[in-house]
Amino acid sequence: MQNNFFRLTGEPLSEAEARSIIQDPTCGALVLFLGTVRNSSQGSMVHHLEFEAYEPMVFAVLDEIANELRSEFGVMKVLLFHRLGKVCVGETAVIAAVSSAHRLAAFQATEKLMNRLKQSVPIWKKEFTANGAIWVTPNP
Amino acid sequence: MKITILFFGVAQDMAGVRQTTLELQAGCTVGGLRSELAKLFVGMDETLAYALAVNEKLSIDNQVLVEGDVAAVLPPVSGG
Repeated sequence: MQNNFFRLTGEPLSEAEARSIIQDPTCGALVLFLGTVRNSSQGSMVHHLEFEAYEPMVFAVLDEIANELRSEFGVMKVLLFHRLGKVCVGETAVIAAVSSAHRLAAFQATEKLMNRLKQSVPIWKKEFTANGAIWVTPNP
Repeated sequence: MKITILFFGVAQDMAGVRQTTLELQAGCTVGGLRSELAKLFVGMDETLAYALAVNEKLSIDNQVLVEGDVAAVLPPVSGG
């Protein structure tokens, strides 16, 4: 049974699709987190972001993370959709979603999924601002 | 021996290309490759705190490279 749903795409992300994918009759809790592009960063106006990824490693690392979430929180389905290429202000850059029997596990697992994404999944972000373009260095 | 090197994120700007091929001495380790990269590309040193993947798996510095390996320079990630 495959309960991991990972996607890297240049196309807009749909929260409705994510919701329908992680829905499960055994689950009373669906948590969806949307990460959207802010219009400013450290005082600079952001025009857009560009993302790139080392795609084969992304999927391997996400599989490991999903296994961790399942053993730690007992969650059912784990979804992570991430945009690649140009993403404009206001657009959704990432959807992280988890389903579980009860809400606490789904909340905690979704938060951990986002934290792990930012720590160890090989995806990089370039910010295009009024002051030029820079690769973003990690922040907590 | 020839090794393919892939560059991601800021490492791509430092190298000026997305990928290249390096000729290394037989028996060269991942640590040896790091030293080569630091000589070739300004900033691609310990201050960048990058990880090196070999054939899509994270490597350690004493891993020995072999002909045809694909190494990837992975700066600290910033997805999400």
